[in-house]
Amino acid sequence: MSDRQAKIRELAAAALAEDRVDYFIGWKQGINPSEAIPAFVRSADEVDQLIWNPLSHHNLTTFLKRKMPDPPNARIGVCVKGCDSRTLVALLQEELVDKERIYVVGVPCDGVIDRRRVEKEFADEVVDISFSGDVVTATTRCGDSKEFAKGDMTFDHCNTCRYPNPVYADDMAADPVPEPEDRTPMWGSIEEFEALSPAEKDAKLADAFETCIRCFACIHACPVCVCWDQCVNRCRRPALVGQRVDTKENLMFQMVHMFHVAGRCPSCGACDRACPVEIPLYLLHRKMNKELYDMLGFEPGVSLEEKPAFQTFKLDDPFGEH
Amino acid sequence: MAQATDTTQAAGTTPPDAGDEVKVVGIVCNWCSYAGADGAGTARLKQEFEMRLLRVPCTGRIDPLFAIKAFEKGADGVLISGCHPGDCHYSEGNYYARRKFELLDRMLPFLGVEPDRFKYTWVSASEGARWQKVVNEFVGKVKALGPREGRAL
Amino acid sequence: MKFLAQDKLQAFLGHLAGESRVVAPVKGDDGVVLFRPWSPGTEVELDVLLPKQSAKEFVLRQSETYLRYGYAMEGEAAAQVDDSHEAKVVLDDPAERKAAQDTAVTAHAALVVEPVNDAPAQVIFGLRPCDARGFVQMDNVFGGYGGFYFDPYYNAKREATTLVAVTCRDPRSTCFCTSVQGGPASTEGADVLFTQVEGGFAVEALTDKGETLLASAEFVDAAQAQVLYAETVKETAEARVDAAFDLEGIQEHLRANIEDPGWHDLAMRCISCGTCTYVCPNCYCFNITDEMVEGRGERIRTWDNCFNPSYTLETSGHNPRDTKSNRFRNRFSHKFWYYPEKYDSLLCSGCGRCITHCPTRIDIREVLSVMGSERTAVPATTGEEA
Repeated sequence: MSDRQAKIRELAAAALAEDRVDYFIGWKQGINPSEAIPAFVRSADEVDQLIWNPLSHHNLTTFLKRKMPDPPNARIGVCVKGCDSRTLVALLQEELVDKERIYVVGVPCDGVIDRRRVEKEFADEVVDISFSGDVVTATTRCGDSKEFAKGDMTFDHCNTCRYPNPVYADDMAADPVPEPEDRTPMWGSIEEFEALSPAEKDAKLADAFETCIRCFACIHACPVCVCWDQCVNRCRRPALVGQRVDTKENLMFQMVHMFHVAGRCPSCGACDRACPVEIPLYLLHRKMNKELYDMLGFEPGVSLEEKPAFQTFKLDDPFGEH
Repeated sequence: MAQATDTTQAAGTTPPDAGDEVKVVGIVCNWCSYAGADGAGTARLKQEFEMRLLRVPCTGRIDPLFAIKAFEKGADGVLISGCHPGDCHYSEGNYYARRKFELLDRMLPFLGVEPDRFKYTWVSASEGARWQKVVNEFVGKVKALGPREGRAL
Repeated sequence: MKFLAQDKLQAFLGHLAGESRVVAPVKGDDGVVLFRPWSPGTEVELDVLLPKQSAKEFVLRQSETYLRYGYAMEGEAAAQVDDSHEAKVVLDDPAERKAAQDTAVTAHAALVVEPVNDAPAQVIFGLRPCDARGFVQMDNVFGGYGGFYFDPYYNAKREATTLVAVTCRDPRSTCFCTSVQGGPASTEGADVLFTQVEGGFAVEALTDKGETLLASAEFVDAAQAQVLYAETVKETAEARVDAAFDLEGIQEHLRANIEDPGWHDLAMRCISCGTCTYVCPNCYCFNITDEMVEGRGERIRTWDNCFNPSYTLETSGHNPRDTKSNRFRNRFSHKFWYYPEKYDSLLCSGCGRCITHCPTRIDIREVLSVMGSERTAVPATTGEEA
């Protein structure tokens, strides 16, 4: 783990020192050692703040999308995990990011920790999370401490990950980790939801979306949601989504996000992690990817040469009436 | 009300308010399905009147969100219809659209909408009789399910 | 001071629920604690310090209906607008109605307007002193300038609301109420203050509204030991809140630093969502829109936030705050510079939700420590993002 961290620092320092990038985006420690946050490094002597550990969940590709770079034509170095690299490839496929202006450091990933799952094990605030092999130790502000198996605390989509190594990178922070031989995607916990009756699904969704506050965190944290100020969710004409915040409009709001990233979203989970009220958005996005895979054998963002599913077609697409 | 399948009877004899317990939205392309529906009307082929048609230039114009919005606003069923693959007035609009509708068709049950409430199909300008059949079958299924009472969608 | 035994809490809340709506922190099936309408038998969650959202929503509704409107044929029942409410034709004057008819979209139709302002009595139980203070700060805005900008919607709800605050026992590392003139046992804004002591709560009424609440039979007089214990709880909590930044001169510094390129650096990891403002107990910016379908609709007020790219966008297309860092700057400057200038109070009560819920953990304390102090070194400008 720490050798990847050292290599990230080394690569970042070199890129900054040689003036290949204006700034480098990696992860650094947050308010306390229980979390990692995005770090923006502007000079080679600041690279020591960069870290890599299983808390480095942010998909930094978000900071490459339209309106995010500061200045707009900045040359940016960025760290990507396997899932992050797929969102980057999706952006590159549609030329939404200029390949010439980015320098990508790929980080092989062993899965990231779902901090909220750890948090819920305590009433008090978690202030430290440390790792030793496959054991995760979490400590609270009052000094309570519990140990967990790492596999129990990683995200669902990490446990079923088929792309632990970046599919696109200029340099790698380590040798690739072993990849599963069977590349058939796995969809984790959505089967449980699929098995419910229509009325039960409706009730579950309604309960979840009732608490949505329409803060746009899901949309802005999403690396492949690029409309920004032109989002139809903010638009009054057409009023596809009403401004009233209620269950139905909230789900409609999320549908806009979901259908607009269909074919680009590899369900990296950035939206889910950003949601302040913990709406299980991954359910929707993973289901969408599952159906896309069943329909077309398509997985978003795995190859630069491929076109996104909805920007192309085949005369003999195997569905619909002919 | 009685199933309106007797093609010899003139259309529009049932008062439009009676038994109007479900709302079905049809989104059709201008060149094929709308013309087909027009043809069905001209030929006085009797159809279920719960269908409300929306005409768009091409199925390629139809965002899956149109159907979701219709459900959100209280539609009990949504039918999308356009030119047969290969017959698109704009050559390939319906090929792109087909992928979107298929995804929508697969997602809607996940959102708590019964599968019979959504259908996408192709009806050409000359297929008035097929239009009648599609509408009557689809609306019949929606009627069998009755009005929706979704809290989420 | 009164005492309420832990096992009497449900009875007390049930008692309140008989007369008004009760809102309390409740843990959902997914483990998320939020202020939700409480019903008898529901567990009140007080172990988790702060519900994810502040209680603001129950007074400054995220969607507030101002009025319903529609067009009715002349002479037709105006109640068509909404059958559930008695509609009111506002334009009684024939001349006025004539004018409205002329401009009406439907020929021979009259505009029917039905004002709406529902404010049922409610008790918000279990909010922390910082959330209670948030209401005091919003009061300035919605009833401000001696009532010149009196907002009937906010004030009707505020009037109908009783706030029962609970002293914080274990402040989080992100709490900074003591740095913004508050504290974990601050009484400002609250009607009643509960303090958790052994076996129950030490309770003090702070206003007449609160006094009424304590008339209920579940309360007994607190023993001297309980009073002392409550004092200790308050002091211990107070000591556990870390000092975050210095308010001294913060207004002047923010003013002086308005063009400082440091704002760009701080805003780098901001994704420009609105989470911080929507979970904030003080942020009150709003937008007004008409939701209209087929000639009838509602005028609603919804929360807006300064991170929204269309915030302050003018009809001309010009936006004085058109970059992410401009909008980012607004949030902090508003809270610690423009608002204090107007109302001689801060627009922040130090709950720290904006820190814990920010997807990238932007820390208001860090921002204010940097931009709210004298900037000496001026780094090279980083330019403007779009």
